[in-house]
Order: sequence, then structure tokens, then C-alpha cells
Amino acid sequence: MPASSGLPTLKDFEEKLYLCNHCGFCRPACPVMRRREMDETAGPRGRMLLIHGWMSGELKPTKPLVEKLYLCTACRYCYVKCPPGLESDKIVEAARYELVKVGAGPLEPHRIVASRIADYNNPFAEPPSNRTAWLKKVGPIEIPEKAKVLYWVGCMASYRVQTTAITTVKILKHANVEFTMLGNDEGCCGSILLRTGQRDPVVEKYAKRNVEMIAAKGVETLITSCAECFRTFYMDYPKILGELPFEVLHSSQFFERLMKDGVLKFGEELPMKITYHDPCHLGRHAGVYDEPRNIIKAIPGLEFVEMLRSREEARCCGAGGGLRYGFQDLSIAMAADRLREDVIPTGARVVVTPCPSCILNLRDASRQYGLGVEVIDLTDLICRALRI
Amino acid sequence: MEQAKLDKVIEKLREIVGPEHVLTSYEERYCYSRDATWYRVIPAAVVRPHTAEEVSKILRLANEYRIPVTPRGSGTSLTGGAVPVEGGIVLDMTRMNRILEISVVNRIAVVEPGVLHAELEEELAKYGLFWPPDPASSAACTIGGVIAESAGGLRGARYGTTREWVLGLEVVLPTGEIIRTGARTLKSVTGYDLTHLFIGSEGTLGVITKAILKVHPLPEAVIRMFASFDRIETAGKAVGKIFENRIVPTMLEIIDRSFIRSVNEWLKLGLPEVDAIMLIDVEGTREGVEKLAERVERVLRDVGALEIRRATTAKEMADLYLARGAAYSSLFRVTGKTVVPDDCCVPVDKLPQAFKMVREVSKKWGIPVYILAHAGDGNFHADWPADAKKPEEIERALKCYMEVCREVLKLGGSISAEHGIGLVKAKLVEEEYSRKVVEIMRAIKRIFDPNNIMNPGKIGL
Repeated sequence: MPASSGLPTLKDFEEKLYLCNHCGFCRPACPVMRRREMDETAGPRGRMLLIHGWMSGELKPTKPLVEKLYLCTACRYCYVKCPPGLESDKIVEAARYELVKVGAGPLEPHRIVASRIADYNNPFAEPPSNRTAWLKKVGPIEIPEKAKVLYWVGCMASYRVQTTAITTVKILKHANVEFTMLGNDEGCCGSILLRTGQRDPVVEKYAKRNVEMIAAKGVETLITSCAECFRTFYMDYPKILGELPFEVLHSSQFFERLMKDGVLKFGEELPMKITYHDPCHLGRHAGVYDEPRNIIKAIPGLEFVEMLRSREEARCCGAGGGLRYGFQDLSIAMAADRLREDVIPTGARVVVTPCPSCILNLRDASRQYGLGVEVIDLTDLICRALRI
Repeated sequence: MEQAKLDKVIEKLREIVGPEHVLTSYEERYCYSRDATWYRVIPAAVVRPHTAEEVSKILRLANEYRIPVTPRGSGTSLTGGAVPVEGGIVLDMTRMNRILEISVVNRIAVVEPGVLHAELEEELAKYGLFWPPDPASSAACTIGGVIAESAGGLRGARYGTTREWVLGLEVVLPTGEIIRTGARTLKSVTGYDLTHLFIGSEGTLGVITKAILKVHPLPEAVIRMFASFDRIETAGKAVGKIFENRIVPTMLEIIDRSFIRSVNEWLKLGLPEVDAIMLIDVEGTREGVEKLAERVERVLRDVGALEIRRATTAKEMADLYLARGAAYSSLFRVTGKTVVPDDCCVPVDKLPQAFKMVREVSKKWGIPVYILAHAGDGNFHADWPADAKKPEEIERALKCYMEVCREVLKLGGSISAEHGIGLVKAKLVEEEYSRKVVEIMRAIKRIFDPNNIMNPGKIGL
């Protein structure tokens, strides 16, 4: 039941909220605030004040308050800059949950996403029967019913950024990994719902259903393509269900492991100049910084240039936390900021990132703003290096 | 203000800056109700201008309707300078954020007030330059705020504070005129020095819309040293000895035992848990700096430092700096309380007495104190932890704070080194000077601001 889900609620942060001394160090870190010309009401300090005001009864969950609390990608960069260490991403998520409980949230686009997930098992209202349509592009492959490894494709890679799914499976095949998938039975992990405060269906239904389906296949290791799915399985599900009966890895971690075990070997040179974008849910949320970089560094001939703001200082692509659904133009403008201010100054015209959500937003930004940056998944890069 | 009048003003403000840049909902105004202190006033409206002309029109309007105006950068002020005034407008200057010019030859940078300090620093470094004032809030604070508060920082030991690094300003007066003070030149004595009147005026005279900053070449080489002391008074004495030896370090920081413990507890740095540690930067040419560092080390040895270490690589320098950089944060993390940070200055030779005095105050009130000092210019921060949920704890911390300020005056010091007066120390201005001086300040304010609309109540004016 929701009350005992183990996911943090606002009550858990009550003490911490008092610790915000309004120093403002979080302001320049916030990608939303930068886009809104440093408007205090669109930044982390403003959000903390609003949440505090609401908790203390001074504010009501009015339309302006609700909108401000959804103007956040939960990218967690402000946490890195916060002297008292307020996890404002988690605080915002918990506040959104309260907003949903009192009927003031989420925003309309988020409500629509929730109903699509309920009806179609994915946030795009795509037919579930098309979920594995991309598999045809991989070539002949046999996927066993049961295996120790399960590839969780995720909605974004299944329907929107299929190169990610195709290249991931190509690598698994190349490395002779015996793996299974849920096929058309795979559903949404519920990340978008958790981020937007719509916890109940995930807690009551999706988490358990997904984990049970996976466990039934005798799985020991689950690998995900999407940083958001990864965070959800790795960090949220254990809070809801307790320890999972399998290990959860992001594909970058899994492939790095294969590389270290000597299964994945790079031989031919790949003469490309690239930079790397840390997805927030992989980096700041889960601390996965080195594994993808280790793979990149192992590819011969590749010129890798770090961005000025990378690892825990990496700016968000703007897609997370339901922002792309709620405020699409703002979200893509933030991605354009990331490309203009951080990617392009490296001199690389290719940015690699192991998350289809980041890829979609950054690609949209590159196209809409005419920035000429190619955005590819790490798995795509690996395939190019392996010539597969 | 009556609602009908306010509605009319808001309508006119929307015409001036565009409706999206006037914030009027209760929730939006709520977000602008505070700075980094514990004061809170919800403004009547927030306006976000983009040009000096817009600022001029806003101030004319506010003057006509006698509405108080509080200019604000990032709202990082530590004494209440950016806290709104009851019934007043907040003028959020952060949209005016362009670096207009950097001239290596003329040694100036021309900026708008909303430029972030850290962004200016990053940009100047590309030219091999820097602007010496370096408040700890660099990443967040704006140049407009730095000038309005006359902020200082770590490099103050050698370079002084903001007052020494601003050549000229463009200011909008509350009566709407846009004036220019100072010059683009390094020398200028054309009449009264209005530039310096505006620096540190905390938004009480006008609104800064442009600043001509004097910049400096980055030093060729820097050596960072670390020393530990069994008594903080000895560390204080060492500062005087360094200057006695005609050495002017760039940075000279003292961190006391309370901060050492909290940094260790938070980050497990394994710093020696002595009474005080000191960080010293010296700069110069590659050859010169080496000799300078040796001389500092000799002085430190003679005065009785326990351990003296040196860092030369960027990594070693960053490691040594971590203790200082993490000090403020560690206090929150370890005590679970907020901080009431004091800011005073004493003549450098009075530092040992000042440290002793602060600890006596702490003992008297039974509140632990955490001391950080930009000791090279006699500036120290006595930080008092307080539970933000308990107003009585804030009150008690403030009692210590005020007592330290008054004791500092007895030592020939100043009640504010770099945080300004704002609301917290408003009553102390007269104690540092005299009633007559405060009257002169009021009279000066009337010349610029006949209806007292500019941030009234701040600095006690």
C-alpha cells in the first residue's frame, strides 16, 4: 500500500527543509532557472520555500504553486551545490506525491501519460503488439524463454529511439550472451509516474508485476538501456518491494564488465572525436560515472574530450522529471543549452550518452536549433567500434 | 498600499517591462521574501527589468507612488540587504547579465549588475586576468550585489575589498535620472567620489545598472602553505609576524578547532585536531614566490607552528583548500542546525585578543562558536549554530553576535568587514560612529532619494 511503500514522503524531509538557509548556491546549477533568466520562482531555492510554506500551512496547493513544483527535472545538480545537502530532487518528488494525493497535481499532460500507461503499457499510447517491431532490424536471432540475463528494453528504446535497442542486442549477440526479454509483455517501469508524484499505480501494481515477470524467467541479472528505467529498478523498486531477486545493471555497466572479462574486445581503430553526456539518473542519482567512460577510453583511435561540466557537474538535458511532457519547449531549449554551452565548445560534433531519453531530447534540440550535433547511444558507438 | 493603487502600479509596471516580467501571485512573491538571513517580508510585486531605461521608468513610477524599492541580485546577502520592504517592490536585476567589455590594455571589465561573479571570473581567466574581490558566494552572487554590499573575500589579505576595484558606475536614481560616476580610466579625481558612495550603499541610494571594474593580471605562480597551531592566539600572532616581515600573502585563512572537527567528522579528512590551522597563499614570479614561501615558513616556525606543509600542484592545492572550502557546509551537516554568521574586522595586531574574546562570549552564553578568519586583513567570522525551528535559539545566537560586535569596537575594529549592515546590524552603525555621522548619512540619502523609497530601513537609514 502507498503509505508503507518505503518511498520517502515530505514528512521524512521536514527536518532537512529547515536547514535550507537560502544561501542561493543552488541557483546557477538549475538548468530550468537558467532558461527562465534566473527567475527565483523557477529555481530550487524558490521550490524549497514553496514546499516549506505549504507544509507550514502558509500556502495552499494553488495553480501557481503546482506549476512551480513541476518546473524541475529532478536532475539533482542543486544537491551537489547545497551546503546543508538538501536532496531537493527527492523533496520535490515527495511534494508532487502529496499534490497528487490532495488532487492538486499532476499537470494535465502527466495525467494523460498515466492513463496511456494504464491502457497501453507505455507512455506513448503505442500498440503493445508493436513493442518488439525493432527486432526485425537486428537480423536472425533466437531469444530463449528463460535465461540468466534479461534485457529490459524500456518504452523509449522500444518505440522512439530504436537504434539503442537494436545496437544493444547486436552487442549481446556479438558477445554470445545468452539473454531473454519480456517481448510484448514488457510494460512501463513507471519512472515517469514516480517522478510526477503518481506513485500509487507503481507501488500497487507495476513494480510487483514487472519484477515477478522477470523473476519467473530465472533471471540473475537485469540490464536496462534507459537511465530512468535503471534508476527505477535499482533505487525505487527495492524501496517498494525490498531487495529484488536479481541484480540490476545499466547496459554500460554490463558491457564494461564484459570488456574487463575479455569477452568484449576492441580491435580496429574508430577515428572519431566524441564527448560524453552523463544522464542525471545514471550519474548524480546512482553514481555511475566511470563504467561508460572506461568503455569509451578502451576504443582505439577514438578522441574523447570531456565537457567542462561533466560527471557530478553535468548539466541536465532537460528531459527528466516529467518536464518534457509538461513543458516541451522549455525542455528542448534546455537541451539546446547543454549542446551550445557544453558540447560544442569541446570541438566534438558527436555526443555519446547511454540514455534514450537524453538522446531524444538532445536530438530534438540539435535539429530544432540547427546545432549540427550528432547524438548517439554508447551502444551505437560500441557497434561502430566493433564494426557490427 | 490600497489595492486600487497597487493594481494601477502593477499595470504600469507591466507596460514598462512586459507582463511576463512582473510577478504578482502570492506564491511568486513568497519566493522573493527572503535573502540568506532569517528575515522575511513578502513584497507587493517583483519586477525584472532588462535595461537601465526600464529601471529608470520603474523608479520614476515608484517615486511617484512612494513605493519602497529593494534592488536584488541573487539574494545571497547575509545581513538582510535584499529582504523586501513591507508593501514594496523587489527589483530583480538578474536579467541584466551581460559582460559588455573586457580590455586587457585598459585593465577594465565593463559589466551589467546581474553577471554572476563566478562567470566573470571564468571569462576573465581566458584573458589572463581576474577581479580580486572573491566572496565565498562567488558561484551564486551577482556583481551588482557584490558592489552594493562592498563584499570582500579570501584574496582581501593582499587585494582588499570591492571598494578598491571599481572605477565607475552607471546608476539610476530614484528620481529616474541615469547618472555616470567615476571613469573608464585608472585615475580620476573629477569632483566628489560618488562611485565610492554607491559601493556598499546596499541599494539605499540608487540602482547600479553598469559597472566599470578594475581588473588585474593573474599571478605567474602561487604557492599554498598549511600550518597548524596549538593555540588560535598563536595563529593570530603569526599573522602579525608575517606582515612584520614585510610579506603580504594573497590569502591568509585561519580555521578553528570547532570547524576542524566538523570538517573531519563530515569528510573524514583526517586534519590534525589542533586548536587552529592556517592556509597561506603567496604569489609572484616563479623564482620570487619560492623565496617568499621560504620566508613565510621561517616566520611560522619562529612563532611556534606545530606543522608546516606546502602544496605546489593544483591537486595538492585543492586538497589543502578542502578544509576551508567545506567548513561552512560541514557545520550544517554535522550540527543539523542553521548558522548565524557574524562578520567583523579588527586591526591585525588585535587578532589574538579578538579570538580570545569570541571564545569568552561563547562560554558566557553556553553556545558553541565556529571561527573562520580571513585573517590577513583582520576579518573574522564567528559563526553561531542555531536551530532554525526555534526562534529563541536564533535570538540567543544573535545576542552572542551583537556582543562580539560591541567588543570588536573596543578593540578599535569595525562591526562589518564584508557582509554589510542590512537589517541585522542597523542599530550598531551609530555605536561605531556617532549620531552625527548617521545624520550625515541620512542627509546624503535625502539628496539622492528625497522620498526615501530606496531600500528604506537598511543600514538603519
